[in-house]
Amino acid sequence: MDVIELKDIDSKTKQLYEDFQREAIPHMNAVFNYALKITGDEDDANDLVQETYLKAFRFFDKFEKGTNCKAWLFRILKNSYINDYRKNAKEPNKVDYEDVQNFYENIQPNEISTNHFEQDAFSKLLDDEITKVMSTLPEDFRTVIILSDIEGFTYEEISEFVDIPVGTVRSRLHRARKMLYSLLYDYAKDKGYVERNKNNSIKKSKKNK
Amino acid sequence: MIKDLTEYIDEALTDQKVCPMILEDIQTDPIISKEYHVQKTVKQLLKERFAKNCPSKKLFQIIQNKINNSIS
Repeated sequence: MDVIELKDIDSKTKQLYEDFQREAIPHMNAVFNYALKITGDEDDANDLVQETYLKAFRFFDKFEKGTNCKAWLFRILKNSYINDYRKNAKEPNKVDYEDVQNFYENIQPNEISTNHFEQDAFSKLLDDEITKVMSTLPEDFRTVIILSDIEGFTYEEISEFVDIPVGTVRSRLHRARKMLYSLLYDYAKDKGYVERNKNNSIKKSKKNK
Repeated sequence: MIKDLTEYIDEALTDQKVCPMILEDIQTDPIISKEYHVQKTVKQLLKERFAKNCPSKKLFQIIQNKINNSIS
């Protein structure tokens, strides 16, 4: 790390800089991880992380010491993504939100086959392939599953971060996992990692097609 | 039950007395069992694959340099 020569800057800025190094910089891995998952592209994630950290430093005097800095950085990242970045980002093909929601709400639990064979198929998926599939999830669902299952945020932290009730976090998480499972299964099948047969399939409701 | 099941998977159940009941349902109810395996499989997959992604040293350096330049 290039540490700046601090003797030429005022004491307030120096303190801010040192606090930022201690509080914010250690979360860069998590911030990058989140950026990578919501953009689905490493270059876009790099740009988003840069923008997030530069904004965070500019407004670090507004950060309330003793609160959750990681959550604060994630909020800046999310706002940057929504306000500035998403308009021009290289987004993968997205499926229609309503269609997906209706479709997956009507998948019944007993229509999803789960066995070791399918889990083996998932294990054959490359990280990039999983990222690609995950990027097709509706954003509201993608956000909660990333925050929970990758970043390890609690329901309460996600609730605060996304500004939704805890009960909604839980239900979105449940539905997001089901959606992702189904999408991964379909992707694995298309790639030939899994074979479809009568006893090993995900049936989809025709009325939602 | 699905609400409790999701909390059980995430170890977020506030009432620990519910745990044995959920465990029993997972073992005896095929619908609950499949729900459990779907959620658990995805959670495990994401945790194992992505919890350790790191930014490049180059990105780290670029950010550090830009911050340094902004105050020097």
